[in-house]
Amino acid sequence: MHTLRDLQSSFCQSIMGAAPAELLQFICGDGFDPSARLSIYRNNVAARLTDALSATYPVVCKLVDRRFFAYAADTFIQRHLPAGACLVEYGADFPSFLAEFPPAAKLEYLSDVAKLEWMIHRVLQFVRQPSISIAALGEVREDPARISLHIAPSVRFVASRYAIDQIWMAHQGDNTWADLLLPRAEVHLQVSGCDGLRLVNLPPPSWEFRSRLADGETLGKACAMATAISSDFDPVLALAGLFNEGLVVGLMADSGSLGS
Amino acid sequence: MFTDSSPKLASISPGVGLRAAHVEEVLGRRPDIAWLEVHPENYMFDPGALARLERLRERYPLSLHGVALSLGTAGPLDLRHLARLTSLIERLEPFLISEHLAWSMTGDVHLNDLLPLPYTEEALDAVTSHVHQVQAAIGRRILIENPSSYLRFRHSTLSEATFLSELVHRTDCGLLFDVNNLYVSAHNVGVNPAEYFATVPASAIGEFHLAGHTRKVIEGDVVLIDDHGSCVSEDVWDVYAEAIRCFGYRPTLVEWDTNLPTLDVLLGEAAKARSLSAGLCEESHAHAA
Repeated sequence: MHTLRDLQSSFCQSIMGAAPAELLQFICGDGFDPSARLSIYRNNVAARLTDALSATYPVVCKLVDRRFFAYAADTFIQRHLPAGACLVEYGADFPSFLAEFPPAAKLEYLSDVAKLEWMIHRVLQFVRQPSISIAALGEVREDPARISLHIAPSVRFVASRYAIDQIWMAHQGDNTWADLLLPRAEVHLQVSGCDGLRLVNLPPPSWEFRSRLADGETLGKACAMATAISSDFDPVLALAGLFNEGLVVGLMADSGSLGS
Repeated sequence: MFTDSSPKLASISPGVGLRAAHVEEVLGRRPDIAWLEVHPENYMFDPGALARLERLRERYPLSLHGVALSLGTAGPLDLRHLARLTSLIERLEPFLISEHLAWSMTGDVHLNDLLPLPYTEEALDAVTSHVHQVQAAIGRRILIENPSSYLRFRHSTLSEATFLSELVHRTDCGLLFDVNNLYVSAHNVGVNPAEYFATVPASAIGEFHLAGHTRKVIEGDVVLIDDHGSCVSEDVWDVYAEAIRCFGYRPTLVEWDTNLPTLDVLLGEAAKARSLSAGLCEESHAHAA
């Protein structure tokens, strides 16, 4: 190890697991095992990242034993170190990690609650963007079926076989499981963050339509997918509702952006 | 030549680090605090928090104390992060901007901790280059804070004080002298306070930091952990007094990040710093007369 880059790379490995022997040779023990000195930094990093995860996923933290959360977080951290400079960006992969985490296998709703918490965390990070009117669609020469809509970034969509919205609500403030209403079989949630958090349970075809548009699908494909769920789906009403709620902030056609 | 944005720095009373749990109380009470310092990273993704900070900015001078630039990284800086910081500085117009002598990023991984550097010419070149880049981007001088250390590298060729002094010479940056960090590093890895006071250029120091630390026993020996989770220790107050005698008074900040106390306890620590520094300044004037 001759360069600063090598040293920092080895240091990073030591945070993830065992310290490379060559790194230990560069550390003065000063009365300690050099690995004990390294472990102070490893513990500091782990504590900071665990705190960040528990701040982003407070309901998951309440749903499991605190020690279980620390164990899950520690395992997650070993596999997923942050890719961004700010801790608020950290933890996007935690829900999918929990879905595959064997010790949590019996808590089937846990991963979905985590998905909801990540969305809540994200939507609160955006300011309101000016929405556009449905009249903008009439000004486009392209086939409307080939147009995509830019849905406001402060709006996200999540579905679950469990009533994750009620589970989430039951763990706010002083609420407890005892406050949990009879759970519905499944939810199709729209999560909005501007002007305060709002969770709305949508009919499945509307959720399909809106979430597909948010994923970048064209109007034509989103309508087809919603209609496949229910032949009663009314695209005109659905489109009007989307614009009336101020959720559309731009249009995009195959040929490029049409404005925002 | 970069300059600080306020000509009255030397007369400013001690301030406090503002943490999320105290924001509503400070907004409501508007207590008599000389200035506030925040971590800019906490306001880059949270428009609600930023709006509240802008309201506080109308009443209190503000300092931005970054923790994520990773000035000591061997690779390039994260330009997205630098752009966000630049934008925040333009919006909030802080009177001080500071960062750490540390690294936290390697490749695409951000470890989000202030990790130690070997004090070598290679590391000095890396930090110098990055401080130049940051000061050019923001058009302002930044203060660099001495670290709290738990290890030292065998291949270091410079002392910490010499490393920082050379950095000042090469970049015209300022220094944030963290009194608690010096005390912690002196205990943990033998950094020499006397050498600091003799070596570091007084004219470069733009701010003092004070904070608490904890004692942890590892392998039968005591290691001091810089956790900002308690009152400033008596020993650290003594080093603070020595720093004022040696360098003169500078805007002083009390930091508290873990085991957060009530706002009044934090303000009490700031009042103690004000009382101590005022006494030392009077003593100094009496000697001069």
